[in-house]
Amino acid sequence: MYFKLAWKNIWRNKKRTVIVSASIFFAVILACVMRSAQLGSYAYMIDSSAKMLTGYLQIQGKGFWENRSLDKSMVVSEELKDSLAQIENITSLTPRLEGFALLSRDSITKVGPVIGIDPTLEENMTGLADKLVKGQFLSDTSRGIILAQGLAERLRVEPGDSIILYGSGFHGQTAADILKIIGIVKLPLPQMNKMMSFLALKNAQYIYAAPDRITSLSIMIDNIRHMDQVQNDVKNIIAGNQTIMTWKEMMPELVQSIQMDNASGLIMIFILYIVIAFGVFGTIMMMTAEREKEFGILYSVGMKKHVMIMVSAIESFMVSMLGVLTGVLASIPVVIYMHNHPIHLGSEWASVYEMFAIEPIMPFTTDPTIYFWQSIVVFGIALICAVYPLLFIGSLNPIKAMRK
Amino acid sequence: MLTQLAWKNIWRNKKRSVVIVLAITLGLCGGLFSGAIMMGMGESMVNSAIDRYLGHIEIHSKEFSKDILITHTIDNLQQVRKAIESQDSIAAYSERTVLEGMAQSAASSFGVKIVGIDRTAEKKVTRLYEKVVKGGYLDIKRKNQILIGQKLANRLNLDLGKKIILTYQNKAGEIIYLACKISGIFKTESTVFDESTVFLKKLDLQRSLQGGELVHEIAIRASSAKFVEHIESNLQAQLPNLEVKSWKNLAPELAFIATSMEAFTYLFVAIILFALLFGITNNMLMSVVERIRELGILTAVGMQKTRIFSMILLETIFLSLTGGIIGMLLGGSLIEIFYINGIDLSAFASGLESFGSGTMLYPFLPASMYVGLTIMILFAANIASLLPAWKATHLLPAEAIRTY
Repeated sequence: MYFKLAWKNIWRNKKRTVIVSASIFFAVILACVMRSAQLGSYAYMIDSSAKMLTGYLQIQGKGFWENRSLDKSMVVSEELKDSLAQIENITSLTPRLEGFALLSRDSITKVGPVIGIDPTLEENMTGLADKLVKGQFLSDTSRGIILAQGLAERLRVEPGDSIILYGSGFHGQTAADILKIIGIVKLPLPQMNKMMSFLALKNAQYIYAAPDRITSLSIMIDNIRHMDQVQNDVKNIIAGNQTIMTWKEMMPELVQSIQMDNASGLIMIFILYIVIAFGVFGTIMMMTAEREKEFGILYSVGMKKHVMIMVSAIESFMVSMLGVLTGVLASIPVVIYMHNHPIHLGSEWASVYEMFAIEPIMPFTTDPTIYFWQSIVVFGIALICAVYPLLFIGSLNPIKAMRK
Repeated sequence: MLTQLAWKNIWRNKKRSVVIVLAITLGLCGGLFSGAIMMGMGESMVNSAIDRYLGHIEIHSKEFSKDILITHTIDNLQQVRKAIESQDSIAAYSERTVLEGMAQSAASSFGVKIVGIDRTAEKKVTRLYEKVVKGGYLDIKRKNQILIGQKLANRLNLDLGKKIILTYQNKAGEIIYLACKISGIFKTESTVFDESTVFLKKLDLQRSLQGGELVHEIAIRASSAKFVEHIESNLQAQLPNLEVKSWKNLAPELAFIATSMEAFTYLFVAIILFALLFGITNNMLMSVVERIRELGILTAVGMQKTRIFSMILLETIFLSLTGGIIGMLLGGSLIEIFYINGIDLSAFASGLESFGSGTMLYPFLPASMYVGLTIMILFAANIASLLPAWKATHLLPAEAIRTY
């Protein structure tokens, strides 16, 4: 009964209702698409950075993260490997031995990380072999080296050439060797592409005089939701000289950039909704004020004030929800389309994104909680706006009202 | 006459007009303020990059930007100096020797850019000396002193007064080792810079290289930012064999971010105005509907339709501008207050620093933006008035007079 009355009331002035619902409609579409783009980008940034660099979690020797020294490398025991394999949500474990060395060819010398990798496991995690542009990829027993493309250009070398590696190994021993270049990979990040090179893990352990040792074991998990739990499980089984770090600790810049961007997005939506709220409030105010006489008569013939307030509140609610529902319905196909066709950003944005080690794509998320939050916010606006009829009807003087 | 009438009409229903004026005020104020923060952030990124290392303009040999090699020096130094000194509006310039090499400590090693500077000249071009957080700037008398970044110090487990070994090549391709004593540790807004750049006196570096006066880079500070482009093109014309680049060309992604902040602000305000459009339209529509009888009489006694149309248009413009001007005044003074005092965002320090922005933000808006905004508001008011004005001019006077 109340609902029917409210429904009829809001359509007494069609244009007004349509306009105010339309304003909510556009705000909701805008907010949904924007949030979808933001949250989608964050998930993508985290995932691609984790995949490309650190993994979601990493087991390291204690103190390695601070000074990246081979002296802080560790031996992963067979028992630990077995127990790690039994943790459910872990999808892959990738060992690396990361050292730093000079690479020379004739009179040119460059410095960079020279990383020992397990070719198969590395390929599964980072897809390194797919990035090969020349030559061949490493095998377990390979004695050769793979260079990043930028580094190869700077050293002016091709596959088949030899280069000299010179650096310090485990416990200050000299690490030196002549290595044959067997392949060249193109890494997506210019910073990495300019510096990095890769050895087979066995060979790296030999050159750095660190048999069986690794500096890090990257862990990928099936879903980021399980990270805390996996972290706890791993913490319980690692040795005393080992530690586990999450991507949040290893990439604090990324975490804070996301927080900052997120905050600025929320502020924008907040301001937008404030503007919308005023529009709704104005409409409700008019709907109430122009019916003063009507309210007066209704009251005189015996309608209770709280019923009138209730009907007005339902009107406010209906106008708002009309906007939200149509807005959400309209934005779902937009978001789904964008999710399937992520935006490839222009070359200028590309260089900005590259500072953060991610490819310049803007993916969208289809996470349904976005719509939920928009509805909650607009519902809140409707509630606040309903305060006006409450006060107005509450202080209604039927005799004065009817004379209007 | 019409203007007066329009202004008075607005205030016939105070409550309603106040609501819409408030909506415009708050929307604009919020939009402007968040825009100003973004602009401040962009400005901070640019300025800290210039003050940290870039300077306004840098001169290199043509090959240097492709590959930092010891042989890619700036030749004919006398002639180059003459060309620089002949320019007006140059505040200072600093000649640098730039090498790529490795920094080593007992704990670890890392690839760095080794920059040899003239301590007095550099002080006039960049503000590195202000960023020294521990120890002091390079001492004039002591040999082989070095300034390193906080991040590198952590990474190599080094502190003030400790030794650090630099490894690099001389012109003949021989590897040179230089033991340096850390005289100061600097911390800038950019952790990447702190991790990978070290400074020592140019003379120390050149002595170790035994290759004479090797200058790879000349950084120039203009007396004011507005002369930069002029100097750039002048110098490039005089030094055709060298590469003269302003910071905009040296760090195009920075320039792009800084300019896109302004575009973002406009976009954001446009979105807010779009949302406001609905509210204003609704408001005016109500005002017309309320006055149907009055408007009918005006038409009946012979007021031209164009004049009625203009009246409604003027009312809308007044209403929007009232809100707009209050909003701009309020937003503008907020921005001014925070521009003077700064906003402390140290909670987001590492996120901001990964962008290269300082943690104290000084929001600002260029004056041209206020003009642009006024035009946008007027434009929005014109659109918002269309529907109500149409309604007001398409009344049937005979019927209109009988309503109410």
